[in-house]
Amino acid sequence: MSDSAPAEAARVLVRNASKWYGNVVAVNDISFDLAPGVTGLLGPNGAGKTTLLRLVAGFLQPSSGTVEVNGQTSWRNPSIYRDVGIVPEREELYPFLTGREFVRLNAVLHELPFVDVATEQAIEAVDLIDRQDEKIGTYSKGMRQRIKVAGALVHDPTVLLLDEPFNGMDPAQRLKMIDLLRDDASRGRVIVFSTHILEELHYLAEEVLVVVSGRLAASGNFREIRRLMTDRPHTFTVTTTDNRRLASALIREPSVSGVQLDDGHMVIRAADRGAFATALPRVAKEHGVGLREVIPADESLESVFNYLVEA
Amino acid sequence: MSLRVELSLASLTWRLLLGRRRWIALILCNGLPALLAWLFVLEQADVSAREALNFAGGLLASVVLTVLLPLASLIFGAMALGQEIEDGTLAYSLSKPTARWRLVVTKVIVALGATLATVLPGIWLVGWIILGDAAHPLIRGFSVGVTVAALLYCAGFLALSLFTRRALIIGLLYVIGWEGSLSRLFAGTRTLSVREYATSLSEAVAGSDLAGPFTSPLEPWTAIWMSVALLGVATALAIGRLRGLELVEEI
Amino acid sequence: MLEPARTESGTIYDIGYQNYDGVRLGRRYAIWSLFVHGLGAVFAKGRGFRAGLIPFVLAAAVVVPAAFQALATAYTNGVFELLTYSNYFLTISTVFAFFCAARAPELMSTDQRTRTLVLYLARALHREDYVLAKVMALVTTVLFLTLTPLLILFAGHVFSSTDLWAGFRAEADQLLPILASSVAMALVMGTVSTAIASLTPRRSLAAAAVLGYFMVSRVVVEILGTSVGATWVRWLQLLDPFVALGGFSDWVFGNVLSQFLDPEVSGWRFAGACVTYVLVGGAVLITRYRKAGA
Repeated sequence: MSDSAPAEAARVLVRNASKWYGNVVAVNDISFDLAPGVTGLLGPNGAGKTTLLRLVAGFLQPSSGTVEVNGQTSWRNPSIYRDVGIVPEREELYPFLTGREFVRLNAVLHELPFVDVATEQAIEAVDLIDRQDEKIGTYSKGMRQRIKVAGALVHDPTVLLLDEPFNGMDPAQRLKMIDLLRDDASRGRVIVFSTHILEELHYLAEEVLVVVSGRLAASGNFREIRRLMTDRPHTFTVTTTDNRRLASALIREPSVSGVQLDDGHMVIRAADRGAFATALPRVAKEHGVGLREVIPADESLESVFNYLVEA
Repeated sequence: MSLRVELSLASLTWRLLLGRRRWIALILCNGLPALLAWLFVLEQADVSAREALNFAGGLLASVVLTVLLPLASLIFGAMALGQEIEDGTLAYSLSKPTARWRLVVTKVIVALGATLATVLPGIWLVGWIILGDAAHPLIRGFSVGVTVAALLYCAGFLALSLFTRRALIIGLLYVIGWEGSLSRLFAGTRTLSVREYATSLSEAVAGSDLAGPFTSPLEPWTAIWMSVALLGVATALAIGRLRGLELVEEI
Repeated sequence: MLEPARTESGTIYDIGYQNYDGVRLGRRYAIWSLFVHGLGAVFAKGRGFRAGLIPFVLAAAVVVPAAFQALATAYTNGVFELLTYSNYFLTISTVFAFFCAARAPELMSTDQRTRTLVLYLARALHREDYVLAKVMALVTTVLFLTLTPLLILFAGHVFSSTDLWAGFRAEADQLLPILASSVAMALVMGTVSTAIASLTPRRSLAAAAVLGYFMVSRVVVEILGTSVGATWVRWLQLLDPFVALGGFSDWVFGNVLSQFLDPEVSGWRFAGACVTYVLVGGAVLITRYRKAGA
């Protein structure tokens, strides 16, 4: 893989893309614009993540709208694959090929000038050098995922699409893969990966596209998404020197919509996060209560996701 | 232009088609006509050259051309791409900048190769056992006819496999129903039967004095033109369909 | 909810999991259930219209000619008889082969492909039970397809005479041969088809293999019959199951054996051939499923 950044910035552009099969709408009027970096595609099973990825990959024809990769339509356009690498979700590979042969096959099909060098670099990147001469049929699920990634990276693509890539990987492999992808993204690649496991996004993706029932429910930085949802109360777990006293004082504040006392701490629901942030220390000081711990309880993707899904 | 792409694809497809002990079928298919030929020679010790010729011709026409060849080319032709579609591994070949026609042509040639490996040695063995000469005009004629038929069948069934998941069943219906019975009922339909082309060309190459179980009222040139046309149509259909093939996720 | 057990570091919740101590229906019932499920699978039960098209159309193609012949027999009083009890299946053998080739893979290959075979074998079912249930499902279906046309022909003969009861009594002695012939047909076709289909998890390949076997054996037998004159070749001709079944049919119906020119050939030979088919098919199946299950 080269160390230089790509000449032209990589880009994925989707405008009002929809995909339906008869009466079933798999992807419903989705638009987004991806620049270099890692974007996570989040959503429950059956939400349309795979269909969306396949639309971007040029494996499916959009029923309406446009899907462009690096300035060209992805459908019926094999030349985009010079710059696009795809890691499909399906487990099936060629069990009779060794890892090296598989990656090499990909390299040859891309008509790379230095097939063996590229193959070796790709396999090294996924840390499978010591197992590369064994048949894929003997690989574990995590190894298969990694060899698929190697095959997709061998031609140094500017856009990388991964469908549930961490499926079947153990934590150590996952961390390595995350490092690999983060590294790649910093070199100017557009990386999109789909998952329904929130934790994976937490470590890897700055940007998130949340897909629910074929629609784009949210996009952008997940913390920002959370902030945009002011109609839902924010929750804070607060521990103080005198919980009960602070609780009764806080109830009078307009920015607070509810207080709950659990053993040792308070759970406060705040309607207006900004106002609460100033109100809390002021009220605490007024009543002589010392603040020990203030933890925003649901910053994590989990609550974003749950709120969005249950909405 | 380097053929590395084609060679890699061909090697992959060959292993896909003939892996997992399927090559045993190759040996059996070649062995069967040879065995029958050997039985004939064993039992009919003194037989006229004419009779031997008739038997050889009949054997090749009915066992190889009518049954073994269509079956083999159906299976290899439909599975050359069909197997990858079913398994979902076609995504790896399609997600490359390789021109679709190169994919189709490579697959057809490999299927053809596998088919010929299934039937040609058997034909030559029959020639050697019964006629004492594997290069006998009859054998040469048959080899040509069989090759043409194999090419047409493979291309046709490969194209078919891109349009339906039941290509094998439909192919069988074609072979048994159309070529087996219907096309022989009406003279006009003979121009649409691959078997007729093969028979006609075999006869032409072998020389018409070897008439017998495989004569065809079809003119050789008609057969040639129709074969070319059919091959062109099948290949074009396959390439066109592959270009617009949607890889739907199968669960 | 009950009080959870507590330790310093972890808690186990009693969510009401209970052991089942009641009646278990056991192995026999499992076999029966799998058998019934197989019957449905052959006719694509629950899989929508298009899936059921092929089996039903083929089944109709097997039965309908009998209806026509029966009408013809009844009206012409037995004069116009193209299809008889014994030649019926030889005449429509291709359609029959198609039916078996199309449906046997549904029973045998899909379980291997979808890896549900392991699930079946992880139950009270033993491997032999699985094989038995599957084979019997196809055999029973084929039996239905073999018995029905023959019974229709039978009805045709009965109705050809004005006195129904007399007509019935006259034809009644054909009932036992009808049954024997149908059962033989079902057992041989069913076992052979499932045995071949079980060899591969790819449905389409299995179908081609089953049909391929029938096609190849038919043509080999033709070649041997017309050209190689020796008597021992007659034995090889039994490699075509339709020859064995045809001969058995002729014998059972008391006809002159049409399969071979030599009337000295004992009908027992055909019966033996049929039995051999079933045994060999069974052996193939058992061997195949001894290893399968991954």
